[in-house]
Amino acid sequence: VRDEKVKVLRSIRPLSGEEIQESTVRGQYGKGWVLGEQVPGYRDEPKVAPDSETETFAALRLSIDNWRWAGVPFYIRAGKRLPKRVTEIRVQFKRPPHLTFGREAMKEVDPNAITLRIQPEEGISLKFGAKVPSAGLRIRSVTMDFQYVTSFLVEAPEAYERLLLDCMIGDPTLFTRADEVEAAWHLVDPIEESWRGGRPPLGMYPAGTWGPDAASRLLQADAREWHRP
Amino acid sequence: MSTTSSTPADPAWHGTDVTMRDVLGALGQIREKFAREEAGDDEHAHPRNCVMTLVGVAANDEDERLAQRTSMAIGTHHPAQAIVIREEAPLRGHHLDAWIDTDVQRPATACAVECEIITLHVRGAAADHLDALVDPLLVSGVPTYLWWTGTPPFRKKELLDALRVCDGLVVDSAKFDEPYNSFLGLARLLKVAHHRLGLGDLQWARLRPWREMIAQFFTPRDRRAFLAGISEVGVDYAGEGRGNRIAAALVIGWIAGALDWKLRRAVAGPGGVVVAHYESGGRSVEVNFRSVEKTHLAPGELSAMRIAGSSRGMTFRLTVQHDPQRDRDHPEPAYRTLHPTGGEDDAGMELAARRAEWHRDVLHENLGSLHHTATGDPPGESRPRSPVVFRHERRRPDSTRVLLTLIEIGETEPLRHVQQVDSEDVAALLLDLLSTGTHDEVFNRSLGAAAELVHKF
Repeated sequence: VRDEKVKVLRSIRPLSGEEIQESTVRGQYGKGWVLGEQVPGYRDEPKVAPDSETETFAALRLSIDNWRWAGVPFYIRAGKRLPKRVTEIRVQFKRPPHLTFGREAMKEVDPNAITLRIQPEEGISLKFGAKVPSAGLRIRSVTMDFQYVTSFLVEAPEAYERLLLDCMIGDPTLFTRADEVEAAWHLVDPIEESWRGGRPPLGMYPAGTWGPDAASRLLQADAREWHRP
Repeated sequence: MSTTSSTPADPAWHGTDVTMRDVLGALGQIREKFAREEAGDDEHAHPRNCVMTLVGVAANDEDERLAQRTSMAIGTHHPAQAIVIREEAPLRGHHLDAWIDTDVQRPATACAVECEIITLHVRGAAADHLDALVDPLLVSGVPTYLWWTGTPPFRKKELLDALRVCDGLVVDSAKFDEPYNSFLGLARLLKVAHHRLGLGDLQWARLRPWREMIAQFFTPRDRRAFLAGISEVGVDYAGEGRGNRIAAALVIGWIAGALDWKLRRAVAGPGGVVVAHYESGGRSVEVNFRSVEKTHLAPGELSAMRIAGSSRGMTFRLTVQHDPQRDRDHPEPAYRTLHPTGGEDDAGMELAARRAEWHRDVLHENLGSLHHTATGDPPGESRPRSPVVFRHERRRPDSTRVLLTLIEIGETEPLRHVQQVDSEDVAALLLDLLSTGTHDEVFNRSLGAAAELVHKF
């Protein structure tokens, strides 16, 4: 498992110069509303400099140059003070070149997708188009859902619970190896350096939203949009 | 779903002055408990079913109950999560009260499903940030519909923020406080809201029988040519003023949008008649809006429509009338024939009740002028805050469900058809809109054309 992780990291095309401007977004939250409560902006938080340029949000577009993922864009976003705490991986399938039921019937259909939910509600959901049960021919997106908690009725161990156990029994599978750390920093270092120089500029976003507008534009440039978790 | 039954031990939770974290925690526990209870001896439980999240925004007790009742009615057949939000007067240090109610249905041939209704009473500025309240509760991967039972704040940025997390907005333009301005605000959303947002209007759903009647007239192949020969349209509506012409404008917008009529001008004529002039293929089409007094209709409801014209030397006229022969004489209130009895005996109490009823009648008759005195608004510009009680009393279910259609073509005898129209149950109307995903191109086109017309009023 650890070898494969390193192989993937080494296959990611490093970003440099203009690519960093075009393919990365950095942001910082301002004051806003989260979970029905007003929260201060990052620069108003205790022990934070009022002119801090520290990022609280990042979005990236990456490419993996290997046989399996050639031509598939990977979009990553992470941030603080977003509307909810959620970690998930979404694999969105391409639309087929020919729409059997015509564009009009398929207008409300999102692309088929598999979502792997890491937390909360660990599970997998599959989204696909189904015919609306009426006289006309209209297709709408529906989901098939699998959740660990309802399917097995056992509590998943806490993340650190598992790691501590692995540590005690000497299983390093989930631990990061030195070459993995180096491969990761090899990708991140040039981005960080560019960001320190203010390229791209820091985008502000109100707390409780899904990041700065630049994050939306990053996907819009590819005629895509972020999935709402 | 066929046979269903509700468990008496449905989980429920209530918290006073809580946070959204408390609500999310309670919701998680309720879901887990449901999953465990339903698993029985088989450890492999089914996943939680949910077809949508319906967010209802209620302005008062009555709307809140309506939203809860409707959500429950829909959830019975379509497992859903409903969130009912009610803004309360600010109270220092007290922000959020929450209730979670569930209804479990056990179909005979499928696994149990749970409908969740989360009611939030929000105080202070938090109520302006619906997206912050709702977003953490949303179920991923299923559509979210926002049903605003009153008048959405179309001019506020916060509405657009709330709509960002929604796939559709459903309103009832017949219940707007300021129908004219609010309707234009609704139409404006077509341009300013995010591109995936669908719009729905319960009033549009209520107009379905009218639209069907008109469409059916032109459906036979030999009548298709009449569409290009329409020269005159008349709409009668209850109430006065431009605010009460919304339903009429929606129907005309529907016809104009479908037939590609171009609006040239609208002018006020004598007797409160407004005439709109359209142009289509070099021809002129005149549309007359006429206010009529129909006590059994709520302000703004359609009373009649007439479509006339000629094609290839053949004249035609379609007339659709609402409740055509149900004008009844109101009986003389009984109180006038009774003598005051005084005292607290039954007769005295009955007399008091009758007086109260009479007082309410008088209030109802003068509602428009009382409202005008209070606000200074011209007739139809705005509506009394709580006219619903009067409207419900004025509607008689037995007499407002009939449409009479008269068809006159050439010199032949008029064809007469009477049709009972479906109930106006809110749950049914809402479901009708939600079943299309609120992405209805015909409605959008009609709304745009109606707004153009309303703007000329």
